[in-house]
Amino acid sequence: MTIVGPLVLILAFALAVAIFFAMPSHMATPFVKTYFAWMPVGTDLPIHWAFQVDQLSVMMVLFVTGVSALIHIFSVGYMGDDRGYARYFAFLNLFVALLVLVLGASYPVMFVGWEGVGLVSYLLIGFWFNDKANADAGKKAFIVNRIGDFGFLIAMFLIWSNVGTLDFSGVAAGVGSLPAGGPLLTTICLFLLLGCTGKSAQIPLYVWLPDAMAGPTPVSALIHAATMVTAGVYLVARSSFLFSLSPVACLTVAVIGAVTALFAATIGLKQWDIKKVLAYSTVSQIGYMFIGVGVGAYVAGLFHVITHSFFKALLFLGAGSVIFGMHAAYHHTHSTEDAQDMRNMGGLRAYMPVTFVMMWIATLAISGIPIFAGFFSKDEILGSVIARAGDSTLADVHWLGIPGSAVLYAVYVLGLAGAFLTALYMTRMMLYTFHGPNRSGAENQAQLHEAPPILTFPVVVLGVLSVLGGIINLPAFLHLPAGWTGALDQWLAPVVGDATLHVTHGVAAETPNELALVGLAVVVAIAGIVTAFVKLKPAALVPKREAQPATGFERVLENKYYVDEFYDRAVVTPVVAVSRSFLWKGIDAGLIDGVLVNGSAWFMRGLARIGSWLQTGQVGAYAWAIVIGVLAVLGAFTLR
Amino acid sequence: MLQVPVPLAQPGGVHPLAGSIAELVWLLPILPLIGFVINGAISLFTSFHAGPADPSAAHGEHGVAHAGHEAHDAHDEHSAHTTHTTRTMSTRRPRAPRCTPS
Repeated sequence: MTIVGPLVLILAFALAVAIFFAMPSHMATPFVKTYFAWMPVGTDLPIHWAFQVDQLSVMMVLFVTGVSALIHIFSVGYMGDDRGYARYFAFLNLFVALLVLVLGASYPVMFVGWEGVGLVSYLLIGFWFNDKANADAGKKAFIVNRIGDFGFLIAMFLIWSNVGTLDFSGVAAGVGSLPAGGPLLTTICLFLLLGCTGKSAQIPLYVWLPDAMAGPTPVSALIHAATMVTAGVYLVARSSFLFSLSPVACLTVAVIGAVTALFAATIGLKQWDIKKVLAYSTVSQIGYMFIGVGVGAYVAGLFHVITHSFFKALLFLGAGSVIFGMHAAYHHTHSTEDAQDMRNMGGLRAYMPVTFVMMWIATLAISGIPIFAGFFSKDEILGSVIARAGDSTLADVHWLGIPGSAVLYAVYVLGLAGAFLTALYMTRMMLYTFHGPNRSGAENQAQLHEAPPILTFPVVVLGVLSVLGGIINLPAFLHLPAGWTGALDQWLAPVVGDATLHVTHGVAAETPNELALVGLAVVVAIAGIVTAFVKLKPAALVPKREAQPATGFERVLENKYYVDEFYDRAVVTPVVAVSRSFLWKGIDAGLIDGVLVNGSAWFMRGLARIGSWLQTGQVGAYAWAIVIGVLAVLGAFTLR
Repeated sequence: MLQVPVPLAQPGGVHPLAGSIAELVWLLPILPLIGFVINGAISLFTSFHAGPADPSAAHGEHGVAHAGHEAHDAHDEHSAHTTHTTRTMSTRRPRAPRCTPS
């Protein structure tokens, strides 16, 4: 066993911290380090391999390396007995090496990281590739992400052809010459958004993320919850100078986020696989981040990226500890039951007290209960929506014929409904996993115990961060001493401040009736938790093998609205059919193999056969041929 | 096409981060990349098994022996893991043609 994997991450995190402390409090321009001319395409497109150190990139690097280091430590214990231990850490290290996504000073360099993390995601989803389902899940993630990447590429082409550069600072300087709110800017932003929906698993390209849970649980925690899937939010924030000039595109981002937040939350209500619940929760929470950056509250969206990385990584690692314990018990008793199905769990608080407490902390944080980190970030997002609905460039335009302010109020309602469902499905998960009687059977119960310290240590650290994480951007209504509130707002102001002000007509946005809105959000969250405690009966739940199939709308939710089946019939089957009948049998086998390859051979064979008929071996026939040839030549000369 | 100058260099003199530890920003992706190289090499070396010098001595039973061990691998959430086999190129050599008496 090697400790190289976690060690390099700890060093990278230490370096990130050192760079953070080296930065002055007010740094107006980014620090760009150009290393070499990467793709000098004539004089028109000099793409350099350059890194950019600014407030946004350092913020991303800090939490990516920090959370990654914790998850690497967890992985040492979790994957210690796996035969592919070194291969696992090679892939996990490679993922973090693709920090170029956030360090890149231009869209092409960022795209390298963007594609690279997609590749590592594919490799780790199918880590146990001998199981076809895992390999298929990896391929699904890879293909769906490529659809989004097509949008990213088209957006880059449009930016270059209209602005003349792909460096962030160059685009920010040149985009002002394009008509604000015009169709060109909106088109660019919508293509970027297509890329974001693929990477960040939003409607309509969210379907790969729940299947991505086929990978090892620490991978789900790191790549498919805390870091990679938030790349879309980062791209919108990094491109804030573009999005803020296109209110229609901004509203589209917010609407997609709001609809996804609610839609995924409803599916999470009826999932039994503990990782699937968390997967749909991730899709839903990224929807909130999209709402934030969509309404031009870039800091709020990024704030939720950070807090979410703390409590969602904690939830996944906690779930990993639970699965670890359940699997070890089943392995000991040679049981073949499903170690991830919550119907086989129950009452685990007696066996795993540390995990139990930590996961409740994360549940309260994601539900938006005060003092926990998620409360501050989610509240800031919802408050920003109401503020923008009152007065902003978004409220001034129409979106598909609907007034922008009406769209924003609808986004707020969807967000609030999603908050209620979040509290409900998360409490359901906790009740069925840790409360009530244990349903694993007496023989297995004897084997259940808390995970070893190497697994619980990262979980406890993330638990502390899930409680205290809100400190980085405390709201003004707390009336704390100067310097205590809005730290992240001030930190990110040089990067996204201008874009935010553009959306709010140049004035600092103030949320009307902020305390009332905060109170409403808290009441909704508490209502979700109370509803779960009142309506759900963990004691009445039976193990998976004895469970009756769901009926009615519950069945629809359990089958995820049959979206996968719909995509299969509407997209996959026609594409496969066209590929098989036209591209394969028609073009490949028919035209290329049949006409061009075999056809040319048949043609030459025919010619050769004619030639062979002339080779009779009889001197008389050859003499006739010579005579005819001579006559033909003489005739040709005569007629000339 | 609109041509905009690309401000790759810092405008207005020396940047406050010039000469600071931020100059080492390139190390941030390189450190994990070193981990990738080391772990990748370990992964390759540990899964490599040299075949017998005489191919006719190989009978392909090595991989079968491994599969039995793998069934006891624990600590994962998928049974797929337990059936994961690592077949190296050397374990599946074709048998030498049988020498039959004429």
